[in-house]
Amino acid sequence: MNNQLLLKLKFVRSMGFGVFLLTVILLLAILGTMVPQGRDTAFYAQEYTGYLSDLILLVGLDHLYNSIGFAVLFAALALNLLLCSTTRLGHILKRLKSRYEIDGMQELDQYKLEAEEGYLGTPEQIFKSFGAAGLFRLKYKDGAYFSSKNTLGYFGSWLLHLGIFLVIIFYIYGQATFYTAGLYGIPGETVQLEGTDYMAEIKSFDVSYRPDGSVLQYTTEMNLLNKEGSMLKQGSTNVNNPMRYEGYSFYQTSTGWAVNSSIYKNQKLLKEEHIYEGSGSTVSEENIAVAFNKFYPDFAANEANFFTLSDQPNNPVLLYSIYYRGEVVLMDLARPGEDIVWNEYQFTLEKPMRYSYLQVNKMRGQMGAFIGAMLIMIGLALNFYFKPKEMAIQFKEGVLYIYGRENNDQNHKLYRSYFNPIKRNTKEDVLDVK
Amino acid sequence: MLSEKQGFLLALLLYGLAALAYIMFFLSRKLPYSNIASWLTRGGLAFHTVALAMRTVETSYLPLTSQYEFATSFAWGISLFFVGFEWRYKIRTLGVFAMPLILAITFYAALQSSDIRPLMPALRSKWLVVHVSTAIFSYGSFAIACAVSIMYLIRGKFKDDDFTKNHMPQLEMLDSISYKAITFGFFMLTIVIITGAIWAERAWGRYWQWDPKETWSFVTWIIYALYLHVRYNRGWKNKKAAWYAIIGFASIVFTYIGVNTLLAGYHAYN
Repeated sequence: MNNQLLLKLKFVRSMGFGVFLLTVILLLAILGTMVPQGRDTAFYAQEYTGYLSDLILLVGLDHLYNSIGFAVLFAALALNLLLCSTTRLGHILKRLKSRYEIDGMQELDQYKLEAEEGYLGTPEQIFKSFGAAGLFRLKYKDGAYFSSKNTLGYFGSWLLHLGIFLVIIFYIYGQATFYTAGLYGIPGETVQLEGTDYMAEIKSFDVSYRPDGSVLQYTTEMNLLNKEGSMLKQGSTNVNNPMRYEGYSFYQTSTGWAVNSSIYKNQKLLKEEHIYEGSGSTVSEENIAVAFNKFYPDFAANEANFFTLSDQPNNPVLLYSIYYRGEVVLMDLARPGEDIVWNEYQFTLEKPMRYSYLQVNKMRGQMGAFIGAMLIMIGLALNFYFKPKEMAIQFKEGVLYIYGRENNDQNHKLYRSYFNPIKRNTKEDVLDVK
Repeated sequence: MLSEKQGFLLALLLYGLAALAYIMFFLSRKLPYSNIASWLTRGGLAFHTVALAMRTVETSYLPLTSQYEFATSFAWGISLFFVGFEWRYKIRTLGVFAMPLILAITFYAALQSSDIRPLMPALRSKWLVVHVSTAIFSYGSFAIACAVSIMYLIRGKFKDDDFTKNHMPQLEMLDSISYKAITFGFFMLTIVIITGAIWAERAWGRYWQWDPKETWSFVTWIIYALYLHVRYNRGWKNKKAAWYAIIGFASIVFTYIGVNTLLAGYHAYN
């Protein structure tokens, strides 16, 4: 590998580059919360001055989090983490291998003792007297006794970075292959799931209430069918409990009202269909349409507004509009089933019923991201709360030497402070061991 | 029997008196004020705990769902951490910097509507308890780190007399306490984000969708991650680290209050 490539690799895996990427991501993430995301072009033109609006649209700030640039930053961070983790693993293994060597350890203290080895007690007792009791493993090698604890902690930072790498990779994968579709349906209706061979048969939609009238839960009972109409899965979905099938998740997202709409011309039925609040029914050849603007299940009005007292159909009234050649020719309130007449046309909006709106998502890589998240947690726990500690004792010509290993990856001062209380009590404790 | 409202108001009163006593202690340098302040804080925390327990009994769910509930729980979390840190490290002057934070957030809670509203279906999840309660511990811990960092920044401005020696720890110690509080807060914040993602997947269909609250939690996480990195690897254990801890807490406050009031998103349950 030539030197230039090595230098580039060294830069890409460096902490400086990682910190730079994190800082840029941080600033962009903040910027994204300041500019509303994913709105229509008209929204930005209305909300911002011409120059600013153009700039937002030009640089893609309106869809910043889904932009290629943002994904590239995360991909670069993933690369940085991967290279850094790979290098770091080598260091960790090397460190573990050299655990039982005095070389590389720092001499923390030494005591001249007029005694032979053995006078101070067993190595376990000596370590105990230095505060390193119980959990420390003991090993004798090359004339020294070694004791260590929390060696798994060496992997903490590595696991943490690996976890973040996995989360980023699987998130990007999930975003790139993300499937989402909406599913509207009233009980008894079978709806095709867009872009798939599946059909959803809405068996029932139930809204359960508490005694105070507030909504407890929305539940849709449904059958999932294949294109031949054979049952694939029967189940229910409610808020916080999606129905799942082959990676697809069916979320109870929303509800609203639907009515049965009929359009007549001179008593002759032109069209009949279910329409949802906010939508309409059109007879193109006649250039006539009816829109179901708003439903008030428990209608009330004051001088300024129409509103509903509850979502129970105690006093149902609907707001409709009639369009002819694209122009509104009539707009009024009507009761369900009431005849609405405009010229030779007659309209009926009847049988109000609740519809269920389900969002269907399929996001790949969730398990990978979850494993990454767990590694992050384990890595953090090891890094913060399982700090490796290593000590060694050695007798040389009547002198007891105590060594500890400085861990450059850890918080230097805090690590040293672990040994400080040990040092304070040493002489007396050591002599009391016997 | 004490009602939730009475308990809350008593806590607010005692926190206010405690803050006053801590300031008196700092200005007059008379130890009895600090003892009084400590006991007032503990009393406030006890009433605060009773108030939260009463509300839990009344609503049948943990008080973590509305702006008022989260604010009062947030203040309780900081108060709990403050009492713990004061007891552990015996830093009497910490209250001078921590109590105003506790008082401000408790006061903010008092300004919110404390009406009990039925839980909307999206909030009826076992993940709510883990997600929000860990947020309280995380935010509480970061608040203490912020208070200690403010102490760090002004510590050098005082003469090294007996009062300072006895009641304001050395810079190294302050830095170490701030670091410990931040590592705990960071660990908890990571749990907050992960449990939030799991819950979001079950409720909204995506574990991450850059909702403003999610994004600002992520921003806060990055700020503290950067703090830990530069601290480990570049030895930032001085004023820079202290400023970082303060900026991190400002981000926490914005995530909690700013996002809810200024930015619309899925988390707008208030």
